[in-house]
Amino acid sequence: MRDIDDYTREVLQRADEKRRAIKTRRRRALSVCSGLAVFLIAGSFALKGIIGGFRSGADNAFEGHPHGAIGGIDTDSAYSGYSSLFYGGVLGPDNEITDPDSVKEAAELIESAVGKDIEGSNDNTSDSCGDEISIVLVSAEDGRHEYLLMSGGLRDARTGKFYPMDAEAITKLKTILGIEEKKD
Amino acid sequence: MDNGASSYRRFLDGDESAVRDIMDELFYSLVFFVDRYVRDVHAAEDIAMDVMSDLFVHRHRYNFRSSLKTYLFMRGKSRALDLLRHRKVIDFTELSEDCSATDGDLEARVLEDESRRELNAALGRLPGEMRVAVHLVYFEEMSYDEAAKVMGKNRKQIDNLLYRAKKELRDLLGEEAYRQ
Repeated sequence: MRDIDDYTREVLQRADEKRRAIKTRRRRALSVCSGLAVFLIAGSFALKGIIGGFRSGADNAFEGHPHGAIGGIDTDSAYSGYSSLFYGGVLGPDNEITDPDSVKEAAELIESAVGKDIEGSNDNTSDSCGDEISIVLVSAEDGRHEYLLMSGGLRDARTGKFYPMDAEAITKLKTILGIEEKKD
Repeated sequence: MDNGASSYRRFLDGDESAVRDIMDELFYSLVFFVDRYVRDVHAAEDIAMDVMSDLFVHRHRYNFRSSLKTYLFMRGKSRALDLLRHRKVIDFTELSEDCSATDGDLEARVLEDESRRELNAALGRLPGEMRVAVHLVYFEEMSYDEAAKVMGKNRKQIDNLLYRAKKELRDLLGEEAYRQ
């Protein structure tokens, strides 16, 4: 048998080791819990984004535009917040344009016509030739902008305002949409 | 004497010297008691040190409802049984005399009285539970209630164990030696 001081020393040493072990265990448990919490939070945000995307796509798809325009999920802004372009007449994924350059070009053409606003009118019949094409510009910031491309220009589907465009711009827009072949 | 409870209060209040007092008061008794179960003084030492270190690490496990000695003995018994289960040596009754002999040094530290040493030697031949009951009541001077608490039995069972132990000891030591 050893002296009681030796035993006391060893007991205190064991107590220290146990305290250290407990701290390490707690720290490890804490880091696991915080990692799990971060994972869950990130996961919930990702899930929210996915669900939101689906909902946005579904809303657009089932809105039933009179001219058959379809919608889709908002993507990154390409130009002035616009991210994708849809055009109508035919429902289907082929009608979606997400190429940033095309979207930018189309948005520029549309905005240059809308920006003029010279002959803006609420006349729903003017220049309507019956084969108008529905164009939907989607932006993450401003939402959907719907226009009807007619023979003489654009009509805002929401307000009914008509914005005249020159033939060259209309052809250009149609080319972007793939309706008309590019003329070299 | 409060069997270390006041020292433990001092320890909880931040007095580190209380550790030495608790060790002084209870450590050897705890080793001696655990040795009754494990029959190996080194294992008993190890268990006693573990129980003591637990007491100083987990500060609020002991709630002062029983004496500190009773609490430590309960913990010691539990750890001793764990060790025995681990070793798969639970049968106390099959222990040989050689095996039941405790460390002479430890015995000398705990038992100053010669007649108690004789009793201790005879105690080694008693069946396990009787041995522990006699140890707690006669060597540790615990009340029947405290002994019952440590052993996880009721007072009546301790009474019966002690009655049978006395009878056995009388046979082992002889009537005269027993009376002494």
